Amino acid sequence: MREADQQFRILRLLDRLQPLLRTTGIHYPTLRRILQVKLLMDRRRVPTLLSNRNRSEDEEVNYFVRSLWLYALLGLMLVLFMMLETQYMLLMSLVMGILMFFIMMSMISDFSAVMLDVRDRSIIMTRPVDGRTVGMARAIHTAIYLLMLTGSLAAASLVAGLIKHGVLFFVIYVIELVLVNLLILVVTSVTYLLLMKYLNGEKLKDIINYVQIGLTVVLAVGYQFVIRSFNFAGMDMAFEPVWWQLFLPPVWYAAPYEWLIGSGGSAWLYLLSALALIVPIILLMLYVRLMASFEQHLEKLAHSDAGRGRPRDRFDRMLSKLVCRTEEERSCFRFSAIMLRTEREFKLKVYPSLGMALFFPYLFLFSMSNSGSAWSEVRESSFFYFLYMMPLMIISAVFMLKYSGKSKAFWLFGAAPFSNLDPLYKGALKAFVVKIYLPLYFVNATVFAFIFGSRIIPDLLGILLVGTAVVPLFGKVMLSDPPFSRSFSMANQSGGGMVFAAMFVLGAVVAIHIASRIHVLGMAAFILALLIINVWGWKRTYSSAK
Amino acid sequence: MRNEVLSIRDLRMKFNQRYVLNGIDLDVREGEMIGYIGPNGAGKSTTVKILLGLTKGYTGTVRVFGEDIDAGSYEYKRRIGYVPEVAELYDQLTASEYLTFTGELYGLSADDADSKARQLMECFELEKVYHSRIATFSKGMRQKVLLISSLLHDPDLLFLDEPLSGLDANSVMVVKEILALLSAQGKTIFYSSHIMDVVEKISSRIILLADGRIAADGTFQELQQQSSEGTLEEVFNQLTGFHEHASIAQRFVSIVREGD
Repeated sequence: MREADQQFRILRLLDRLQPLLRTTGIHYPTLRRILQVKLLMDRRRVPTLLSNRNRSEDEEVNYFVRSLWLYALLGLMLVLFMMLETQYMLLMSLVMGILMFFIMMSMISDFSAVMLDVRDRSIIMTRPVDGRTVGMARAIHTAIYLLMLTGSLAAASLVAGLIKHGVLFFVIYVIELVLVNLLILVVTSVTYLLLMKYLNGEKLKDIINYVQIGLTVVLAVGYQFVIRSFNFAGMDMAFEPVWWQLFLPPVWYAAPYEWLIGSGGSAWLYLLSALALIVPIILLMLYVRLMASFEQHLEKLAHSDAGRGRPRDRFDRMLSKLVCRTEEERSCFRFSAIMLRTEREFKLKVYPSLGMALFFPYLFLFSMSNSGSAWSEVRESSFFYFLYMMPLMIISAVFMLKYSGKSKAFWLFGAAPFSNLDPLYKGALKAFVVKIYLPLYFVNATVFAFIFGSRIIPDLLGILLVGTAVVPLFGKVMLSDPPFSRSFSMANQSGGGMVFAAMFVLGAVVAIHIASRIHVLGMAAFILALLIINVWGWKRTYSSAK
Repeated sequence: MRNEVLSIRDLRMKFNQRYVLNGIDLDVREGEMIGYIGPNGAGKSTTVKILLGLTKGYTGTVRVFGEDIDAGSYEYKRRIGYVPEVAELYDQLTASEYLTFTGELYGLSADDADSKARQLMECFELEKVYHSRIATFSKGMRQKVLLISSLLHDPDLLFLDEPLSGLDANSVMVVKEILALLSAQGKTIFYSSHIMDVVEKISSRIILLADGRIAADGTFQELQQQSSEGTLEEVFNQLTGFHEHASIAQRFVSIVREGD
């Protein structure tokens, strides 16, 4: 661990900014040392996605840096925008909007942990270190990653812009990217500060959790929409000043282009450009002042009130009596229902794919109807088969059931006098079907019934039964470990292969489904067969008990 | 008269409309070995957090080494060592990296901190894992790292919250002896624990906190006379107004045995 090995290029870059940083009243050597330790730790932190790589203990690479090429690839999309012949105002509003969305998204989901690291409190703040220095180290730590991310995202469009629109465009683009990062970093921090001030720790953690889940879904769905709606034939509309543009940061950042290299200046453009520059700077000054109190409020996250809990498992009790036979299975059902509902890490990993299961059928429907067919044609069509997206997504979620953020607590099931863990498998799978699959499916089935009319009700029933049938069967195949027994950091993503197999199976089922529609009796036979498979599947798998 | 280390006047602290500290007055002098005890939620860790500047928003005055800590100063922490109850460490670092880093935060040079930490680790027979990541350590090993990191900069005032947790019997003896020696050499130690036998044996002065107030303050003998009880555990029960332990235990067992 010689000092020389631990030099990070980024720190040497930071040394150049030292005079500027000192003006905020921080202690630079301490700041540098804290950052060095943090960056060193990041090199050793392994993200879930890559943890299955067989790595040697000494291999130290920052996995975030390694995953940057993915963002660079994503950034290629922006090149297409650069090629458009249209007003800068529209073009750059769109580009900056997309960039800001990605940066914001990554800020909340990837770097919230960096911003809200409570270990700093007991490890650093108990030592003779100024709160402001710790806060600044935290902000710079986040900013380093944010800038790397932005750089990768914008790299391709920077080059394209330079070639197509010239040097001045490039310069404005670079300056704006820095300002946008500043804006996002400070807005997020101040938002967290306010949340921490008015909410207790547990509530705050829940809110951050849901924001992360929501953004992941919005990203996946929104991205599909952007790609699909990429026929900007009607993009030659003229830009007109409207008051609400004052509240849209991407529009601020589009204004300088229009002013300096587009159609020339106007009072409105000057105002928007001024906002682009002034708002981040004012917020930054505010943030530097608030930084010390940010550290104070973090205390809440570290120790939250127990509060008064309410018993609220009446409904689960009823459900468990309805769907489970043995007492052991019932209690496992209720336990699993609680885990599915409250375990944050599990929710973060699984709920996004459930959200996609909810939205993807509409996405395909939307793209189909977009390609020219009229609404009445859609009504008469067979696009309701897209609902098979749901069982498919559900299967990949079943695969995740074996993971838990609190996998170590699994010793409980080892200590309990169970002859085997079948009740747990069964209870967890049933809880998953009853508490997650059924509600989601009913929402979509209802909407689909309205779109396609009552003629598809037998089909909806069929798809429902397919979903409930595949859960125990794929559970048996895929859950090599009991539910909630493995840590996410051990997660290997080999589930991909299984989901691929599931696609084949479901493809075959869809084919049978389509064939059965030739005759009423065929449909009846299809549903009857599914019922039998359901009963057999739920009874036979995991029935070694007793 | 020995130098004053700590002086607290009318310290009050409110959380969610409820006072967790309700007027604490306390003077501590050099070399005192204070057993700081009280029921859960009595305000022990809140006091320590205020003294370390982790919690703000209290009323009253707190002086450490003669300096009012409300002024936003942090230099006084240079002379404090702290072992928190929860062993939070940067797991991804090796013991060597962690200890060097924390030493540097106190102003030690990296080389000094490193060589001192290595020698201290040797004393605890941990020299083999000095370059291993803390994530792989057992609870006792982590506790030893915490202890070393709290002492590396030779502090004058120590706050120890359950410092013996996770240590084996032999290590417990070593640590107790270390504390006695430090105390004899003029270091002031705040020892917070729920294990009364240990507090009774090592403390030169015992402060009992209950409901955010100081319920008793004195040597063990003085506390014994005050409540005419035998052990510190019994004194503790008496002073916190807790007499039902037998009946609660009986009720507990009868519930356990129900349906037999």
